[in-house]
Amino acid sequence: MEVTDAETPAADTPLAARAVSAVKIYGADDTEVRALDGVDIGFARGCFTAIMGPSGSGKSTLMHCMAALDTLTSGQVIIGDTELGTLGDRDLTLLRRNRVGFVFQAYNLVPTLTAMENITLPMDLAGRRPDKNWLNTVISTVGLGDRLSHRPSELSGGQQQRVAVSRAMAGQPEIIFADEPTGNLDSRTGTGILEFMRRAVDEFGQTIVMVTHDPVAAAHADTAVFLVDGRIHGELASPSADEVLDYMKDLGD
Amino acid sequence: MSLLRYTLKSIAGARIRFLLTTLAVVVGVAFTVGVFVTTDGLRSTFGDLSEDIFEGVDLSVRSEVEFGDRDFGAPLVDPALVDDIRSVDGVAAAEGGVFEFNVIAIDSNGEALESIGPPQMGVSWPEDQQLSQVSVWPDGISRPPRGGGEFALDADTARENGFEVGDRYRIIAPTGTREFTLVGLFRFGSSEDATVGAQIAAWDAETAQQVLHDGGGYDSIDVRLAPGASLEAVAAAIGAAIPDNTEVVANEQLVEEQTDEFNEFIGFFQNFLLAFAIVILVVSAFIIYNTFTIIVGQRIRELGLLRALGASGRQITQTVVGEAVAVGLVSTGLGLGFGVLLALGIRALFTAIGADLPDTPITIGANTVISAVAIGVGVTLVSAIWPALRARRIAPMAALAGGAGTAADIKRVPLLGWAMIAAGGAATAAGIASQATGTTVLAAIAASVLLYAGGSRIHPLAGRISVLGLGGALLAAALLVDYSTGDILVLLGLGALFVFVGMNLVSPVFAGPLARFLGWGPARVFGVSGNLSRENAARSPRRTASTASALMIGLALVSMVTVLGQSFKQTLADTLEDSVSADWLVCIDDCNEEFAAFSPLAAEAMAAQPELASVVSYRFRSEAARTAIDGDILDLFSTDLATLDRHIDPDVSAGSLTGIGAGQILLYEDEADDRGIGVGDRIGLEFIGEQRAKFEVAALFADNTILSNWVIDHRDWDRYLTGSQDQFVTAVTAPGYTAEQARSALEAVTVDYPQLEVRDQAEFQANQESQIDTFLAVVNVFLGVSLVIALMGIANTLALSVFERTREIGLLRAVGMVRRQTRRMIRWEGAIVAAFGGIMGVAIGVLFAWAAVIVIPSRFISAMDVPWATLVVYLAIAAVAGLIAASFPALRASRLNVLEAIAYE
Ligand SMILES: Nc1ncnc2c1ncn2[C@@H]1O[C@H](COP(=O)(O)OP(=O)(O)OP(=O)(O)O)[C@@H](O)[C@H]1O
Ligand SMILES: [Mg+2]
Repeated sequence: MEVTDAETPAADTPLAARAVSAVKIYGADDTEVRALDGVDIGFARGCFTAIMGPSGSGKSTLMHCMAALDTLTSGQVIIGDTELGTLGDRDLTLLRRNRVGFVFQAYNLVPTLTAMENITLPMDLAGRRPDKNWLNTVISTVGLGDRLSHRPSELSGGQQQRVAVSRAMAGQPEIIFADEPTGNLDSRTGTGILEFMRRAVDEFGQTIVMVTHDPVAAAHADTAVFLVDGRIHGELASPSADEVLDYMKDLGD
Repeated sequence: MSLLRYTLKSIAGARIRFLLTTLAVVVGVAFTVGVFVTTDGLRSTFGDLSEDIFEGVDLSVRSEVEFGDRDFGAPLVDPALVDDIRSVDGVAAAEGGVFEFNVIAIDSNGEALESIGPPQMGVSWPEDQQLSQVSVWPDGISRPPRGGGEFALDADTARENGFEVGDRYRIIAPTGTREFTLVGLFRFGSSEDATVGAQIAAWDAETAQQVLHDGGGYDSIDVRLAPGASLEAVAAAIGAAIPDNTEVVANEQLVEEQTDEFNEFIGFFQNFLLAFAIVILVVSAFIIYNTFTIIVGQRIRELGLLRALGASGRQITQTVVGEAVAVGLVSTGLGLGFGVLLALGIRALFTAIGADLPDTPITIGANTVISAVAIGVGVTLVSAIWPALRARRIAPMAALAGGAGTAADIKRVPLLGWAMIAAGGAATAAGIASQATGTTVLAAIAASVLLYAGGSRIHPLAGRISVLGLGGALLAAALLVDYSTGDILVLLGLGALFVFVGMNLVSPVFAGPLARFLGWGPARVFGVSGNLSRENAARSPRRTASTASALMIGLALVSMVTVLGQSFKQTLADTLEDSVSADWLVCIDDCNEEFAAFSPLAAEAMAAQPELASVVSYRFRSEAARTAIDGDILDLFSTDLATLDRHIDPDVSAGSLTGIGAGQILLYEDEADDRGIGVGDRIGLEFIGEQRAKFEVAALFADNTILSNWVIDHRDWDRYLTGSQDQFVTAVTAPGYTAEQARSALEAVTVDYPQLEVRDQAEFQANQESQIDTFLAVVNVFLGVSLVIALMGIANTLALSVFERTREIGLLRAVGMVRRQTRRMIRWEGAIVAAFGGIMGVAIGVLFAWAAVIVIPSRFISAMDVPWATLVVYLAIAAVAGLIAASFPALRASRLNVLEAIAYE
């Protein structure tokens, strides 16, 4: 069994995570793509942030780099007060396992495991016991009750995404990054998940960063940040769906 | 714990994959276990037999032998000594013991009893009941034989061949064929069937001495101690009473010597079988390795996801290794079970061919279990380790993005590369130079790593070719440097293994083009589906190459054996044509028993027939003498030197055969060159019984296919060695007589020697060829097991490919490919892969055979003859077998549900 060594975040740090001059370049020379081009951003603890921007603007890249799934070309990512650039593979792994939750754009479930097993997988890997009450809360909220013993191939796309969201929430990580968690869901289920995330932030102080293309989804967040061509273009506090829509129209011009 | 659960889940999720992987290991383990259980059983049986043979004998007096095999040619003990020994204090009984091979009873139909291996022998039946290892069969009428006209027979042989107590039978013995009355049956040793298939005739000691040794004496004088007498004291007292060239030994030593002798034979048998087990294991290892590589490749997305969710590199390795351990353990368990079944099968086979093994229970020794686990789990683990290490280096996002994330190319550091290659070369050289098996193996393994890693730092291909080179170097060393037989075998095996691994590494380079070339036919004939077969086989050359590798190994060995067999036949034909001028060849059965021999009276009787112009007999005995020159122990060959040239032309290179006779020696030219001996020199020889004599070298000869290297005259043999039985006879038809008349004349003699077969040159050649064919068939059946495993490997890989290409196949079906076309597509891919493996295998096999022909002494194989037509047939069979092996995955592919397949990710 692995020993859990999640550092308790220093209470005086107001930011759960931040990126400093983050640059990510894919490829080299003539095929070079600057997916992130100097991004400076901080995510406040206990805050629900929506990241928006046109397709290809670097949203997913930012999520991956912040969640220690990928490394920056230059710049820094800091989770709590840990600078990711200083960590080796083992520490990055432990950080992913213990301090970060991730919801993928494609659900990425393990096909041989049941829904329930998928949800507890990160904790299983860490050799940690899930908190039963919290687990029940998560499951009942996303509404998977009777599908828990099914394999991913026996679930609909929406159900699979709900399993993926539950997996990120179940371990109560310091911060959750969600890449279009409601992208494949009908509006009712989507709203359910968004409300659940909102509740997690309000009631349990969970920090969530979510990528979305949907202004209505963004309206559930405390802040909406706009990314264009790998740079921060601006942000809206307590946005409404209309405000987001207007901002995006302006981007188009 | 949870990791274990994950691993188990992932196994359960792919049951067929798991079973297919397991199967390969099971067969390998089962074979090894079968071999061990059988030979352990044999060991315990023969261990008991050794004790039985000397049961009741406390001390034994026999002649001293400094070298050679005392069962063949040791001087006999003077019967007069029996009385001297009896008079020693503490001796309760002392009796002469006689023992001789090639004593054959003739049944009531006039047929000589045959044996497929166990000895046919004659022994003396001691008068002293406690000195006796034989006991009267409790049928009420049996009794021990007494006097010159009676004999007894072991009960097993008697019952199996319908011998009746009271009837008269003829017995073929070294002194000729004579008639005796069967007065009793006996059993030998402690259990009823302890003779293990041997056929034993018994006489009283005096008669046995006359019949078996022509009155020359006893093999030993066996002694039973009086109660309370001290073994040491009696042994010392006897030692003082007997002449210098005799010795007294205790029961313990007798049993031990006998056991060693048996074990040597069993060890040979075991090594023969183990060689096949190793081939099977190597083939299995290739398949397991291949399977794990594919599985890890398929799961790369999944493993990447685990990494993203926080699984450490170590945990990834652990799941892959965990799966390997599970496969290993399950297959070891199954393998043990099947191995025991196999051992039972082998025993049934023994019984079927007449070599009954006593009912020793099948025991599974600790050794057996340890080897089974070492092999089952070990091979699987070793096969899984490379893929597992590769898996842990997967970058999570790269893996998630679609599995393209193979390990980064090795950095090019030419200088370091050359240094490593130099170190690898040095390690190989040091290992070979050490002439110690263990060191050589370790050095070669270290060298392979250094060479591969070093070469790869210069050029990716350089590393792979280096491994191939290492294999070649080991083979060359084994063949060209002087080693002990054991070391040669280890080096050969290791060399072959590295050649195969090297080929596996190098062959992806040409797998693509060659597969395209081979796929030309199917593409032409079957259009789109044939073309897809071709492209599928060509698109992942590494997989095609390693799938084909397993087949390559089996086919390489089969081809090599076939080419060697054919070359052997060719050599035989050449020899008969060039060197044998005799018209007739007479020998026991198939002329292949090293120790089978018969009375010289047979040749004498033939010589007396007017239809035959000349008759010559031949004898051979290994380790019969040693030279005064350098103390080398020699195998001696003996014949009637004066008439030899009418029968055989040994290609005399110096001196001449005219006027040659007793006191002279004929020498193979290489032996003479080695020792700087020339015609006219006199050489001192010391014979096994310590007699010494000087021989004049009369001639040197160049062709030793029939004669062995040192040839003396029968008259000298009779003078210096005991046991003057012949091993074969050649004859020349007299002028004016037809072949049929000559044959009748020979057969008139062999009526008294029904074990002898008369053959002319053509019949002899046909008989020898059919024996070679039988031997080849046996070897190929064993190797065939490895081919079957290799085909399972092809089926396995294709099944995995179908699994992997589910989506793609679904798409093809969606756009209109019918089931038949789908099946055809997969089947022909199997055929192409198998043909590819076949071509590599046949090529390597011919190369191996070529190397072997160069190294095998020319007296066995001097001409290389490649049966191309047979090899082409092998290739065709391989391709067809590949086609059949692919049927199962093809069926699966054609039954995929189109919609589900497309949705599959
Ligand atoms: N592995 C990669 N190799 C090369 N280029 C990449 C890679 N991943 C992303 N990119 C490029 O980086 C840029 C940013 O991609 P990213 O996936 O972050 O966009 P996104 O904002 O998430 O878009 P979407 O809304 O469509 O998901 C794009 O131009 C993309 O083509
Ligand atoms: Mg994206």
